Amino acid sequence: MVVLKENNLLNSLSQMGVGLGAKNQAFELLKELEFPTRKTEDWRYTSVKKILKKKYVQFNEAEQVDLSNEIIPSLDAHNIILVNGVYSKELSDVNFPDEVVIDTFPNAMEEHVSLIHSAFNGIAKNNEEVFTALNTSYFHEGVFIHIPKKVKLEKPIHVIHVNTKSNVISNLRLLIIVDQFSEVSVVQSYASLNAVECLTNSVTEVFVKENAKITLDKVQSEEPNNNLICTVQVNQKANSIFKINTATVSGDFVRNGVNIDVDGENCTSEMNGLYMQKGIQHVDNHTKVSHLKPNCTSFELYKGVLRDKSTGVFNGKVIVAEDAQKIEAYQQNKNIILSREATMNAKPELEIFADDVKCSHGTTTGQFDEEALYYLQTRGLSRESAQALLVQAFADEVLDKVDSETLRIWIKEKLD
Amino acid sequence: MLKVKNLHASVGDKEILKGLDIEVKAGEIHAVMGPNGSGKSTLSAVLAGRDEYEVTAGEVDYLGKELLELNPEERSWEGIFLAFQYPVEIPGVSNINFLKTAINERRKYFEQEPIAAKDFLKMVKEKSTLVELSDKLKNRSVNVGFSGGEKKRNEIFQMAMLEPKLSILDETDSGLDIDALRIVAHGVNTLKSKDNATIVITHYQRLLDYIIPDFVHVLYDGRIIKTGGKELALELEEKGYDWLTKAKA
Amino acid sequence: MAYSEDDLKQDLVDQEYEFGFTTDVDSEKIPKGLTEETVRIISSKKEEPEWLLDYRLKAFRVFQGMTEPDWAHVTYEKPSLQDIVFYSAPKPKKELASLDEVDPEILKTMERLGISLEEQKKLTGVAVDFVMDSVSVATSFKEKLGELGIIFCSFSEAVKDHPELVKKYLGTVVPSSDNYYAALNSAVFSDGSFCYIPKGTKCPMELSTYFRINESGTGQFERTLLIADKGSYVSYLEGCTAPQRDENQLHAAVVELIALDEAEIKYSTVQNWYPGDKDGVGGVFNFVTKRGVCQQNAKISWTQVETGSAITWKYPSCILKGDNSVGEFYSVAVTNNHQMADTGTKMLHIGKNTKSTIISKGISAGNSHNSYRGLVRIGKGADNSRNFSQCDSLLMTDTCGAHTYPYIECENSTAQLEHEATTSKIGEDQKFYCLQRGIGEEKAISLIVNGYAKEVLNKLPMEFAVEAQKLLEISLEGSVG
Ligand SMILES: Nc1ncnc2c1ncn2[C@@H]1O[C@H](COP(=O)(O)OP(=O)(O)O)[C@@H](O)[C@H]1O
Ligand SMILES: [Mg+2]
Repeated sequence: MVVLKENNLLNSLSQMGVGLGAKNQAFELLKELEFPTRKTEDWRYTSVKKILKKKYVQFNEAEQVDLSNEIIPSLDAHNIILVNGVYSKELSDVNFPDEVVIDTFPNAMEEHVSLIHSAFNGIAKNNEEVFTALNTSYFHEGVFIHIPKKVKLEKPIHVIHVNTKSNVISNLRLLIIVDQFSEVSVVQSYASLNAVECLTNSVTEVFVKENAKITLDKVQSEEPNNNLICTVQVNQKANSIFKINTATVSGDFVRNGVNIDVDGENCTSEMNGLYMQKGIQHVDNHTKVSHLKPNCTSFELYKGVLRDKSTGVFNGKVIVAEDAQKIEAYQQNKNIILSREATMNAKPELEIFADDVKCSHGTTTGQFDEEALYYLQTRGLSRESAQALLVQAFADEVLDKVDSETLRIWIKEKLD
Repeated sequence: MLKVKNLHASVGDKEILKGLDIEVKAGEIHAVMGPNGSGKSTLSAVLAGRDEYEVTAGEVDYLGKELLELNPEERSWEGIFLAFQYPVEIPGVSNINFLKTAINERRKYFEQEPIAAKDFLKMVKEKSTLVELSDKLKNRSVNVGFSGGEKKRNEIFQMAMLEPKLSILDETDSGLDIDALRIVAHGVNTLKSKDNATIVITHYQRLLDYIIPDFVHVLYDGRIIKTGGKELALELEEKGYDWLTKAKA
Repeated sequence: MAYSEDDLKQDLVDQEYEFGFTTDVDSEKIPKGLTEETVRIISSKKEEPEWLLDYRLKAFRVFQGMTEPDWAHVTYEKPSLQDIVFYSAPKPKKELASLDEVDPEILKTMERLGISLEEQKKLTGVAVDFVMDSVSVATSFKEKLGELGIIFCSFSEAVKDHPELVKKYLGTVVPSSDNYYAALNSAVFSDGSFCYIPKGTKCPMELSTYFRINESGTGQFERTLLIADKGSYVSYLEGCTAPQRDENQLHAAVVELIALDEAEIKYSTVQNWYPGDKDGVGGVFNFVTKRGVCQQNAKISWTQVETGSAITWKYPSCILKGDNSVGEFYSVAVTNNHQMADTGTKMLHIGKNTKSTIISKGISAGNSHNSYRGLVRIGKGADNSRNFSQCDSLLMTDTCGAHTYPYIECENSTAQLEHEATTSKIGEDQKFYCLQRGIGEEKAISLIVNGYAKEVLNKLPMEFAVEAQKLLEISLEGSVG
């Protein structure tokens, strides 16, 4: 591997956690993979130089911390807690229906070894994404969630991740299997408590089996001066529904990757994202839907408001494979720039290899409609509050996609 | 002119027409009525040759020819015209260019020279007056940005231009206000002659106040379950379809 | 019916490239291959001044340090530069005093292209500069234009007669280091067109150049330089055809447009190079760099109809340097059989209140691949700039591909950008509607496709619009199974 001169990131890591074979493979792979530069097409607008330069500390024991700020009080959920990348049994809820599994890999291995082996690392793109290989190689114990056939989990699962020490590197790994005819809602939140200069590198693999349904809500509210790389890899089978909503509230460096392989007919896939950027925040949303089978529909809506010196990136790709006929894929990206020093880069892409399709994408970048602002001003609002009102309305279109009202309100509060 | 015998047609595995018979003679107007989903549009599409619908059994004789052997454009050249329930938009193709192409393609089939520009324009003028179609619409792209009523009038305008022998009007009345209805009906009545025939598909009696049918057929579940004179339409208006369908079941 | 649909299909497959004929004229070629010596020979054959040879040699050195690029969805066997003849001039028998003295074979070629000079002469409003292979053969309307101070001549003539203009502007918009093929062109360009419109002059006729690759194994590296001085206007047409040949021919042109303050340039291209046969054998590799720069209040409008070439790689671009300048790009690209097209534009907004519009219509048939690749960049200082882009793709078969890769970069909060793209199949309902009205399938498709491309075709000058429509029809014949 070409070791970057200042790649302290790798130098600060040592392998630990469960001895899954995949980990060793990834470790070997990591020796050959290169970290992206601005010349790497997928990282054209996002530089990881600064991240690689830093030295990090790894944890292998969960700390006792006060999480009252991170648990959503009115959300009746199964809370699963990870501190500095390590699962905390003490802090986590263990009262869920018997047939459902929510546990670390080592614990879950005892009973579910073949299930884990059949799925784990099956769709993670270790050889394409160096940060995924890094994750596979170095994650601690991970979390395994299995919703067996025909189970509808009434309460959502809230996976809360916090960093509590500065310079921590957390490689979070989640494997979710939603079996046939099952339904679940998972919330993943990322936060830091008095910690700076951390790197959270999260990889979530989701298997949505035939006729299953899952909603994944991500709330990213790291303190400034923290770095977050979130990769979600999804495989959908026939008649399934997958929906992901990503709300980025804070964190100076955020890179989201959502990759969906729609590998069955009659699926619905939905991706929504909201990024409200301030300061020097850099938020990069990369999404990719690969329609591999016919008769599916995908929807995508990403919206952002950029202030101060923030920079935003949206790169959404829709691929329709040969013979995947009768696909409808719609993608929208809308950006409002509110500061002279902010930058937005958008790159929506369509790659179509089938003919009987309806695909479209649109992207806009601009400001608020002066007329609307003026109208509100004539109704007695100050320019600031008029703008705030319009920002809210702009954001609401995405927030309305969040099904749980409690969660929606919680995100809104964080945004304010 | 048209003899349909035991016509069966399906889409995929679903059979929609299940043994339909109808006979239309030159000079006649036939109304085909029936509740939504009974197969009226399917009948019109099959007669016009849409290949989405597979004919699984039956015969259709049209002016001594096996209609089902002809491809859609040949049927058109031989005088079959379908006024679509949902007229299609073709962006960038002007109405006029579209019609001129259509007329010249047919003339080519009959080994005639393309129509002279002068004659064509004269015809456009004459026929558009019939359905009160404005000049603006004639030069616009086919059906693009037309209101529902304008689209239907445009269908009748095209019918007038193409001078068909057998016209099939599929719910041309739906979505029309009284004025538009009158215009459309006036167009149809004016074009009527002893040599051509019309099948009017509708599920309201309303249109039949303006276009007086010689026969009324009730289409239900892929078959003609009753045929009568124009008074049958009134009876249907009053009693609905239930009494017929129940009797059938 | 005796003539079945299968017969029809077969006929269409067998249909030959309409312009696939070669002209037999004595031509003077230099040996194959590319070395510094080749560059020197070209320059000396053309009796060029020292500064131009230096320019070429510098470009050649830059070129030697570059590697040939690769593109996604464009795969081909790279042309071997050592097999290409870099210079081929029809051997002039004597100085040409008038058109009548042009080689009758060449005139015949022109006639088959439908642009015979005789006809063109009568057709007021079109002046034609005909480039066969590499040397401009005959130029009409020169005198008439001369009266207005408009210079319209072959590039070589311009080097001789107007060296100060060429020297001042050559390479200012497309530097030789810009990309691999631009560097190659800068080193070995053979001829091309030059045009200068003086201050405040509105060119009274469409200026037109036909490019054509004739000699087998020759690459065509033409160079176009067009300068519209302050407040002037010109509309320039470029048509391209190539005869049918089995081997691939390379075409790597560079076009530079300079629109000074308040000037307007309208540049239209109908590209119909030989696309190869139905199995993808032969055809032209078309790697072209086209770019224009707009000063204050200037406007450049690119319109292109691309139906030819085995591979097209082309992004006519605008550098909107001056405040209030305007860039436009209207494109129709049709690919069939095994063609590959990767085309689009770059709009670089530098000045304040700059505007750009992009309308791109791709049509893919057969096994072809058609990509739109575009960049819109709003720079820090480009206050109140606007861009609107619409990129549509129409798919005719289930074996082709249509791809859209727009890059939208905005560094200014007062800018407004809007981009939309759609990809869809040619409408079955539209087709059936036409059939029902007695319009057969081939005709129906051509009608629908022409309608789809209308917005762009409308931007072409009249003479071209008709030809372009016909081309679309020819290119898509037999494309739907
Ligand atoms: N293309 C099609 N694919 C599947 N079902 C169809 C199609 N066309 C019609 N049908 C079905 O066939 C039945 C008859 O439809 P149609 O002929 O449109 O009825 P009507 O015109 O009498 O309302 C309906 O149940 C309709 O859903
Ligand atoms: Mg109907």
